[in-house]
Amino acid sequence: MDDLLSEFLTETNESMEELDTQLITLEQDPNNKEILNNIFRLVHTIKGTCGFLGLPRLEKVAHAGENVLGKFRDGDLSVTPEYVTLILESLDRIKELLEQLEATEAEPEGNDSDLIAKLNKVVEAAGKAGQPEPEPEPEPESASVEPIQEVSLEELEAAFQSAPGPEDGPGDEDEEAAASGNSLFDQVGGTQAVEATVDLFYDKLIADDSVKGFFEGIDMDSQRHKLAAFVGTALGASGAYDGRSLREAHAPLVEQGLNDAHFDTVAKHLADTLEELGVDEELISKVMVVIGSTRTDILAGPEEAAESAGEAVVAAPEKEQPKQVAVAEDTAVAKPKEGGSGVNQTIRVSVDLLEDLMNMVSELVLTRNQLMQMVRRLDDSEFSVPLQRLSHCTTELQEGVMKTRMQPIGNAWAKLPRIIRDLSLELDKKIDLVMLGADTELDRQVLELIKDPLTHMVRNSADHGLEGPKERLAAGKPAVGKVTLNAYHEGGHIIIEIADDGRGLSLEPIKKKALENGLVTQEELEALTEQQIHQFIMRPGFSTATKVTSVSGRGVGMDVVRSNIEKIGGTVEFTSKQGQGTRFLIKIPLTLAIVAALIVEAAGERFAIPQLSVVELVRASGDSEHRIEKINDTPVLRLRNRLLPLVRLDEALKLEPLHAGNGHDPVAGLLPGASAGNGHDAAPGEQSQAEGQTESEAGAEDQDSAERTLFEEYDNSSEVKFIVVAQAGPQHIGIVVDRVYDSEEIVVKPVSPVLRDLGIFSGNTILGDGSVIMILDPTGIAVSTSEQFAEAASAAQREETQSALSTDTVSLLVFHAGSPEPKAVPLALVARLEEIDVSTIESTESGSVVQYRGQLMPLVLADRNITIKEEGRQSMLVFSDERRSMGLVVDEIVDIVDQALDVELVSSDPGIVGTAVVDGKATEIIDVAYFLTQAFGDWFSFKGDSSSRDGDGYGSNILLVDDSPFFRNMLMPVLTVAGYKVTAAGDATEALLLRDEGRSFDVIISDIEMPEMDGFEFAAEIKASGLWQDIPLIALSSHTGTKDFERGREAGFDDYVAKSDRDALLAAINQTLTATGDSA
Amino acid sequence: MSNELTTVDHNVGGEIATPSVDEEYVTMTIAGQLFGIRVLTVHDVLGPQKITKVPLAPSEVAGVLNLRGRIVTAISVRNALGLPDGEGAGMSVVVEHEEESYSLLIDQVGEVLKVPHDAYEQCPATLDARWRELATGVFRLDGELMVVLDVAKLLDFGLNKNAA
Repeated sequence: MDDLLSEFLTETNESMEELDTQLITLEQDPNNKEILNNIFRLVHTIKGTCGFLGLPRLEKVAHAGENVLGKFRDGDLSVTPEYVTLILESLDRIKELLEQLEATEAEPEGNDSDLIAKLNKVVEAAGKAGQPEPEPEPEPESASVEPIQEVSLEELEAAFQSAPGPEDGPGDEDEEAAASGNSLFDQVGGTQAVEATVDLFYDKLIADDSVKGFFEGIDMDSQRHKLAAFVGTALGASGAYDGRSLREAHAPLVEQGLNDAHFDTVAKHLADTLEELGVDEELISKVMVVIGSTRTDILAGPEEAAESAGEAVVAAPEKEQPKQVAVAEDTAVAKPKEGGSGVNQTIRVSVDLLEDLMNMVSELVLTRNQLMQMVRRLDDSEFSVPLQRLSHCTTELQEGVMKTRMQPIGNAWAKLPRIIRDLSLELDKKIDLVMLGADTELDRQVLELIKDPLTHMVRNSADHGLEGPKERLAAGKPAVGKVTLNAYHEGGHIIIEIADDGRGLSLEPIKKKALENGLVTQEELEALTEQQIHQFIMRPGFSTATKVTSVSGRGVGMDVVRSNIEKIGGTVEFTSKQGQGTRFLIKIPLTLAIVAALIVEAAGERFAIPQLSVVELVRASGDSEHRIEKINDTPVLRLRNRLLPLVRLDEALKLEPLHAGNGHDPVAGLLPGASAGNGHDAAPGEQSQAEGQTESEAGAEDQDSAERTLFEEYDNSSEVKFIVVAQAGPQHIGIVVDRVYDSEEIVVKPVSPVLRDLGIFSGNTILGDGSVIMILDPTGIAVSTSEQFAEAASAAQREETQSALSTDTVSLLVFHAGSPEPKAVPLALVARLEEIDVSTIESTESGSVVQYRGQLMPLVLADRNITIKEEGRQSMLVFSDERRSMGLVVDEIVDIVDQALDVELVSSDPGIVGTAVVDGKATEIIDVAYFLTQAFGDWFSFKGDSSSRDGDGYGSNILLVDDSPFFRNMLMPVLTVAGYKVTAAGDATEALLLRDEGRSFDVIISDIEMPEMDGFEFAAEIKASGLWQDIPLIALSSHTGTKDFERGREAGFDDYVAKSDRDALLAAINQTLTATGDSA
Repeated sequence: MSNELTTVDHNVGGEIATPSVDEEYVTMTIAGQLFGIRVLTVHDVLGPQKITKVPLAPSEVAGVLNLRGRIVTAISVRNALGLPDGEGAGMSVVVEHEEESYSLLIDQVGEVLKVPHDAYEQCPATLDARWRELATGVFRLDGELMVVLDVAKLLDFGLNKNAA
């Protein structure tokens, strides 16, 4: 393809994507001039380039579209969804044309008059309402040949001559001296000459259609003045024009949309004018250089100018101007980049080239590994040092090349706003698409592969997930549905979340469909949990959309998405809550090309397991701490107080046990050496380098006997096994292998089509020793053995699901007390809800009390305006610790609401923490601590005196680190009430400052999810060194899955407690303090 | 049998229906039987190779091997023909099918023969169904019969089976 054409296609395609996004933004923010200008500019460029390349169809469509945009800009048309749709339609047409252009290298035959007519109609309608469209037809420069002169040439000539010209200028110095000694301004003849020039120049400009728009409708004199100022200042007139700065002088022009093309025209006119006035040619050149050099400066400021301009930007009929370089020097002046961002330090490189590079690097890495392995066997080889360097360089090269392939995930999202917009129109829903973390980078190959699944999922969320506005309002949700995309790095993975706040998955249709498709029987269905039923949507051909819309419900569903994502080693998990929405979590590796893999062996065959999915390695034997136990022949392992389901790799792969020998092995029989690589030179179970791969025929017999020994032990109860704990989807499984070798960097190659249907391999690769090895996919293994496995795993999964759903939401108890506005308190703090017969309420000196569970329970009014009823039952919230209770009297208990809590207004009222929006209403969150002290002024000391439970812990200093003021406010009273002295810090940095101050604490409680430095980093920082190194750490998190728990431990937390579990927290603190007290 | 000609007409593996000109074939023996593959479809002839078994793969797939840095799937022709595994070292010929290379494991590679086109005959109807499936026809050579292997069929076999 023609270079020019292919470049045009690349650029235009990029512009098209940007246009889509920008138009959607404009639709939402119709008054944003900046976006409108940008859109206008993009379309304009497309139109111009099409004209230049001789693509009339494209040009016409773009032109018609541009006209409409022009009307937007003029303010003649307001930006409405209908018009935006129309523009989008024309963009779609352009895209179609571009596609065909790309395929055939020629503009397709056809006619766009229908579309153009529509666009023109809009323009005409707007034209009637407003000013006539100022868009002139492209005309050649010749239009300005006959300037309408108001001042005769002679007059000007005279004026020019009378001024001190360059010939008879101050002192007849030679040109050079003049140039250095006087400003150009003086050289051309000073103020007067400039005045005259400007007059003539102005006439030329007015005659030129392409630029006259700037000057129309503006007072002539002021305009001339401005022009004179412009030229004068450009030429360096010192104070000639009221000391106006260059910027001030040009501002009016730029305000009106002066652009590059205009500048060229203006410059040409100026050059012509000067020539006509008989100015020395060399001098003209100089002037032009000066003018040219101001170009950057002048054009750089349009944005500021546009912002400062209060009134609508005057229609500037931008017109594609064949680049006419007025003077040679002009070319030397760097054209400012769009937006004046300066020189862009990037180049375009073809993807093929990068792919080739990547492949070469992959091969290089492999060869390097091979060499390393060879040299490792030689002691003290002279190759070691250069090889080390080679290795180093290779690694750097690999990293560098990898980086070139990284692209922000936003690229894959570019189309989504448009899709969502179209969907919302089509489905008549209001949808808000929130995209977070768009600059998260990942390998472009991965990016390409997830593009479609992502699009599909977002569509699904918008189509199936979100309800129509009416339904939403009826359900008490805002009419605008929200689809949130969030991408972030976690470990070696990218996590992409797609969440909607829609109706969630409804069980019934899924059940029905599952029955229809014969996936389950009615009996089986009854036994399934909600979560298990949800998982059916991942099965092939499972679409529950009641009607086939143009967006989804074609029977191509989540199974395709899942298989696509799993193809690249990713996983999809999702959670759904009826009425509250669905949340998908996609986890994908950063790159596919080169991964670290653990080489393991089972039944004499070696396999690779990607390191990314390996969680840990456990060595299990009969006499060690870790022992494989069996439940009805199903092996399990106790691992940190949990049962880990195990899969024996040899069984999962139906490998024949080793002792069957090579003779019975079909392949080995055909080709001896086929099962080479079983270098059992080490004792069974011992880790060793994979050195014996180059097995020789002679050694085969010895090895056979070694294998036999191994097998005997294998059956023995005291067998030594290695368990690779791997991440398979949401759960962990233990893969039992015979041996574990090194980890190696491998280049994943796809398996041949014949083997593609085997779900358990994610690819294959060539190892350093030249042998081919299959790469295992732990998820595939789990699935292949799933029936008994799924059961065991489901419990853990459910737990994780729940913790995932509880993220950042708090259960609030809403009640009325004294005022019509609702009040609320976190449910976690409330021990019980009671209705107490008012007749049992007794009065004492210090207030009302009731006998409650064998104790006197003081009653406190939640609001001054509450009056305890005369008869009947009185509602109250009971707060208690182990010993005492307090009743908070309220008027009426309203509801329990689960939601994210954001205390927006902090209250000065002592009983109120602040105000938050709960269930759509402004609700006061009460301060429990305040009421507790109301009931027991001596609560703290009393607590200390009587408490044997808190023995070691009483009066201990606790540091509470939590970014949420709400949680701080809620936990502080809880902890204080329990007799601790609490210091709170709003984030890790604040906490670390306390450390630097030398403060010491007995326990540190830290939130995990915090901005900037999260709890894990915070823990690592503390445990690494310093004053707080030995202080016990308790993690506080809304995520309390096993994984989180383990991660917390790794990071250095001594305990891990759910945020909402007050009792567990107190128990944990107590336990931790007791433990440290004992050890001390 | 009557549709034998039409089935081979798809010609994916470079096999021909009824040869009209004399062509060259690479001959090979499997369990004493002479087979032939058109010489142009053979990319490589290999001696015994180190093959990595692929667990759970179709029985015809002997494994994968490293052919000069490329990973090639090895197909056991014996298994495909329903023959027992052979003894001793085997050889293989590398063929390409739908842009993928496959190594066909056979007992012994013979010479390249130019066979007269008029010696061609369709497979006898009494031949074992598996063989008939994988053979395009038979050449009557001096003292011996050469069965022409249908490479495309051989390599499609695994896929069809999986799809079924």
